[in-house]
Amino acid sequence: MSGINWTALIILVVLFGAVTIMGFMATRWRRPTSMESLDEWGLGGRSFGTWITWFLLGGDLYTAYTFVAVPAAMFATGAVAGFFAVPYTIVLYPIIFIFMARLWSVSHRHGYVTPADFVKGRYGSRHLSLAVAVTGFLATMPYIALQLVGIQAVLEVVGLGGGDNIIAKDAPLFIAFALLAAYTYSSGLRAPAVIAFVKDTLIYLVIIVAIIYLPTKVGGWDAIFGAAEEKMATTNPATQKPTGAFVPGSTQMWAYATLGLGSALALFMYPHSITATLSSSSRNTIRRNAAILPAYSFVLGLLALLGWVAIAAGTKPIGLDGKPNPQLVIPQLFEDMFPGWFAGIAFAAIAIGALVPAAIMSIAAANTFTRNIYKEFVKPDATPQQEAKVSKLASLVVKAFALVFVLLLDKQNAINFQLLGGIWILQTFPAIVFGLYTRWFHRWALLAGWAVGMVYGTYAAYNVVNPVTGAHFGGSLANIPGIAQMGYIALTAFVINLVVAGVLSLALNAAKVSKGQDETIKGDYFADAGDPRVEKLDVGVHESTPSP
Amino acid sequence: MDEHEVVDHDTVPPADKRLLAVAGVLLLIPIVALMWVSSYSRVEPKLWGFPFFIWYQFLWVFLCSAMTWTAYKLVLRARPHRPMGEAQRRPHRKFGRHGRHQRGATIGDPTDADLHDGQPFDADPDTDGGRR
Repeated sequence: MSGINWTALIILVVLFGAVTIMGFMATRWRRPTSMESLDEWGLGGRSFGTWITWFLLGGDLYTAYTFVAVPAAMFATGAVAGFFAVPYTIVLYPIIFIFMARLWSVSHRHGYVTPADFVKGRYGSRHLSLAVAVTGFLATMPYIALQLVGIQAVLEVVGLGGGDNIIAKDAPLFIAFALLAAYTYSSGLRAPAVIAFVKDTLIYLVIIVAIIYLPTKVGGWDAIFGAAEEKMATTNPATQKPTGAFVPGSTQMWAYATLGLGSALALFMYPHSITATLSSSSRNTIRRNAAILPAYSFVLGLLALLGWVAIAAGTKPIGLDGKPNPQLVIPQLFEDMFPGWFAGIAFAAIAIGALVPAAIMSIAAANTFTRNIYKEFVKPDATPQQEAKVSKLASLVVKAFALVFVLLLDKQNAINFQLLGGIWILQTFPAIVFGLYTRWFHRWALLAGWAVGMVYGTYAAYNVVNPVTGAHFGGSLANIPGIAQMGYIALTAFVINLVVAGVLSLALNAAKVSKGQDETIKGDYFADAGDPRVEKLDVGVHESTPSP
Repeated sequence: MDEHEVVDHDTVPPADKRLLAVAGVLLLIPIVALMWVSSYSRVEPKLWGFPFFIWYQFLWVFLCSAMTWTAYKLVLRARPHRPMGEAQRRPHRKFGRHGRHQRGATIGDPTDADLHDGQPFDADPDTDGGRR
């Protein structure tokens, strides 16, 4: 697909620019009371009612993952690699229902803003806290990388970039990176409420039109499922196996289940997720939201199915370098099926939907670096101005590394970026979540378990080689030791982590090795708004709900 | 007459354990159902052209939502909030801080010097310390 789609590009630039300018202007045009209430509805849902709250909370959830990576995986290899996102986002909510209220309470009693803060306060271990902080920083990079791939996909379909020059080839990516860096650096996100409303409207508009209109255009759902089943059963000449799965086969069920469960356990360990949770105004807000947010999973499922709609539509996602690239399938589908102006709107929705969470993720990662690594170990007497400068630099660094991820790893399979980040971040789950309930696990045992999980997980992921390109980190599934089934590496590493932590805890507890000072009391984990010392936490720029 | 009980806040607030157990089960059911892939990994029976595998998971979106909402109501009733108020007794500690951590600076907060530097896209000068 050569040449630039000018109509779409102009609309994309105009909408994008408008949202950016609105964001900046909103900080200058400050009406304290309305800002306050706009802020509050996103968090507490009290002033504006359940439906509007749902609309605005849900809007945060649609990112490049939902629009680009998941449908691309459905298109390329079918239900196992793509549709697990649905059970992932369903079981997510019961899981976080169970423990997030405790984290909210104890964090508000002690001013904890990052998970590393909590771990340090609970276990009295700077090392464990450092491990949690480093992991948070590290795991956010591939996640941002995925958003960059999403923006790049949109720009590539519009026609920007391409050619043989190595710089020009990746130009859309560098443009995406530059936009993201500029957006974050100037803190345009300081007015999330205003941008969020426009962003969400664009996103919902595109989703509704795409889901209702496109299936009818390709012959209805029977035709769609028929085409998908046929494609998945066809043998792939490169691997001599079926192209993909229409429905998970008996050897793929563990993979499906572990991908869903592992991703659900991992999501709320990310710095940006914890930030979003801690920003709520009461300990039960997240529980209330947990009940209404699953509707997002429904729409996510329909978006995933758009990947199969593309099969029925005969979409050919070919990159500007002439090679097939499944990540382009949704932007390409939109370009093929929509008039130029609506395609432009759709591209703007995707690009903004990727940019905002990416910026927020990088800010959250940077803040945990500054607070838990820089201030803790490098310069404890840093002034707030110095901290802010370090935060900005760290935010730039984390984005730069995300760019490196995209350039080095196989971006044909962008969903792998999120899964790779999950392998790492899930290893902090024992330290954070178990600590909310008990101090039985010894801090050194948790650290050892974390280390073993990280090493095993990284090594196993490195050994997954793409059969076509020969690249390492080609996927996130590996053999589960002892069961002879393929499963999500993150969960396998997690189990190993648990076993190591458990066994070592037994030993260290028996040997009466010091467990460190716990600065929390049991009642802290149940504190709510209105209790002494429970004040609004200054979590900085954040979304109301973390983006999967 | 001081009716103020001295509550030891280093304890877990009382709860109706049965209600909590019911809530726990309600939260566990969707997880078990969806992790048990062999129970739904099939094409038939179809519904409006959708394979069973697909529509079953869509159905669980709503079932899970209903169960989570019920669990939410149950949990509120099972463990009413115990205000931490003035009357608290803390266990003796030799070391350790109970207090709040330093806030620290973040991007976009009042300490962010670039936000108020008079350049284009300058944020509004914060007269009340960045509280929103």
